Amino acid sequence: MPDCNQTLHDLQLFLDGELSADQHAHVLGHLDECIECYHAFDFQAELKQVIAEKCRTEQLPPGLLERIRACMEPDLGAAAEATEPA
Amino acid sequence: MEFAPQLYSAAIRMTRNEADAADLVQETYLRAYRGYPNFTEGTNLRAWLYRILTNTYINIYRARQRRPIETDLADIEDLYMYRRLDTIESAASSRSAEDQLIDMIADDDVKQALDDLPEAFRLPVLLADVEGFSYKEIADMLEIPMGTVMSRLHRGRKAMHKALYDYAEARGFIGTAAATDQT
Repeated sequence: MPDCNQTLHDLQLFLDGELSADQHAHVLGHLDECIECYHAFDFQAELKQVIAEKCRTEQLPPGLLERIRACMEPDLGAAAEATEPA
Repeated sequence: MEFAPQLYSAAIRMTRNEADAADLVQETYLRAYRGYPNFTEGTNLRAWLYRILTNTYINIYRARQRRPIETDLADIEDLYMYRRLDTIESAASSRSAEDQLIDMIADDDVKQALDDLPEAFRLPVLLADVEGFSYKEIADMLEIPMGTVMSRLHRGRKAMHKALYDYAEARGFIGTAAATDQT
């Protein structure tokens, strides 16, 4: 069972999904028993989510897609089929 | 071009202006189409497009900005916002102030806090927190070691969280008023 210091040290890696399955399980085990760490993790997780949501809201400028397609016309002729996955 | 809206949002945060962001997305698609024969089927198309976006930004638009590339950031304690709120809450004896504060964070404040990060920190934070890429993917995109990605993320996030805390305080969401029982 990791202590609070170790758990808080792993906070970033945990929230980023970068811990090994073992380490991840250890952190979860600690959070189950330690309300202090749980609150800290919960707050940071929510903050991370809010930041992500609020930075994804830009609207594509009108006409940009058409402009991009027009630019690609010469290229498209050559390999239209292979280049239309997106 | 299903990824165009995402790429444009990321491009805005990279270039910090709409005209350059539109040009950057256009250039990214041109390079992607021309480089498509090099794309390995079955690998992550989205990550590949972001890699082109990031490289194009670094090679073209960054050079144009003519700002010194800032690489330093003040050292800020861990859990900056959380620890401060915790102190206030001990006085107010309420857990919900944290949730309320998060709800009140304004879109523009988040964008500003990210835009204000020095670039060395802004790109890793953008790619991890907004775009959800792994450390390995970010290391590949920025051509820096994973350890550097981790430390820049750590420091960049702390600076961003401090900025968000400061904005919230300036807007009167937290501070002495929030610490006293107003009922």
